[in-house]
Amino acid sequence: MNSTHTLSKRGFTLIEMTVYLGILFFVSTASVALLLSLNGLIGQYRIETALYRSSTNVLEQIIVELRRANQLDVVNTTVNNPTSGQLALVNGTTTTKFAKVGNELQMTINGVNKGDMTDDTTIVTGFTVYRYDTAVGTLIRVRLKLSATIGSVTKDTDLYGAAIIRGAL
Amino acid sequence: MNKNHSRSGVTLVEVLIGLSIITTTLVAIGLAVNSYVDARTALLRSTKTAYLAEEGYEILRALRDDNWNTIDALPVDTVRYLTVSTTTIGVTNSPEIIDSIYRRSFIVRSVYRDVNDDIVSGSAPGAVIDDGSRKIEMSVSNSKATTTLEAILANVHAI
Repeated sequence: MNSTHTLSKRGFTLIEMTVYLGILFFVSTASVALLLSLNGLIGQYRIETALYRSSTNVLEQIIVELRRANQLDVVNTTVNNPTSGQLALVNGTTTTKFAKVGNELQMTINGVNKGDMTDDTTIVTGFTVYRYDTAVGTLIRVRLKLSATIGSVTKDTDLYGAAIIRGAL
Repeated sequence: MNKNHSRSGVTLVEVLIGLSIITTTLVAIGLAVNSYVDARTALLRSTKTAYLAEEGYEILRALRDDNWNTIDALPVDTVRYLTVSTTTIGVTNSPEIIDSIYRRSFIVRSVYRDVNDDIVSGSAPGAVIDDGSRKIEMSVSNSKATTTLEAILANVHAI
């Protein structure tokens, strides 16, 4: 009893302290490293979500308008130009225009600007319109290049889409 | 004895067990987040793959609109590729590789119809080849997966 009491008051030995400190140091270093890498991964996840959302939104909107259109507004369409591509589509009395202006892709309906089509985190680095005339219609292909930045991380993506303007058929 | 034992603090074994539980939890969380991010990266890639397949079908439709003979002349059950420049579209025998990752190819199949003009398999009773239709199997593969889109092209010029 007496000896146990003495033992409990003895405190820790140097070896015990060294082992505990070693473990503490190791665990805290590993935790900080894990948190940092988790933070990076979550940032990458957010960027890819923004890219996915913006790119599919834009491409679906363009393909829907292409399928609805009666004809291509040739004057207001700029082909083979990734930095200032423009696509203008006429559907009855409505003209819908997609144009790369600076780092934005702006949608204009009958001259009224509906604004940027992508998220705030996403910029449009390329919008190329390709035009292929066929006997009864026009095939339009677009290539969309997007770049998203959150914090110090940037990621790019690009998508192709195509649809036929059937004309008055 | 008991009182003294409880005052002796945490043993090394207890510390190690506690640590291993924490470590396991943290590693599990890390792996979960990692697989989330991997899934999102794969989603971006497969979205592009799907759009390329759709684009490929749309290009064949445009070729059909231009001249049915372009589609009619393609050998069935044979792999063919698209050739796409900034101003022309066409069909070729050389593999098409887009952005050095995505490989696009297609196979033309015969379309069989029964007495009611319904599309049936070639082995169905009364199945006859419809010369005014073709089934297109458009495939796009990236380094991880392949997307195949099937659609029918018909000779609209004959109507």
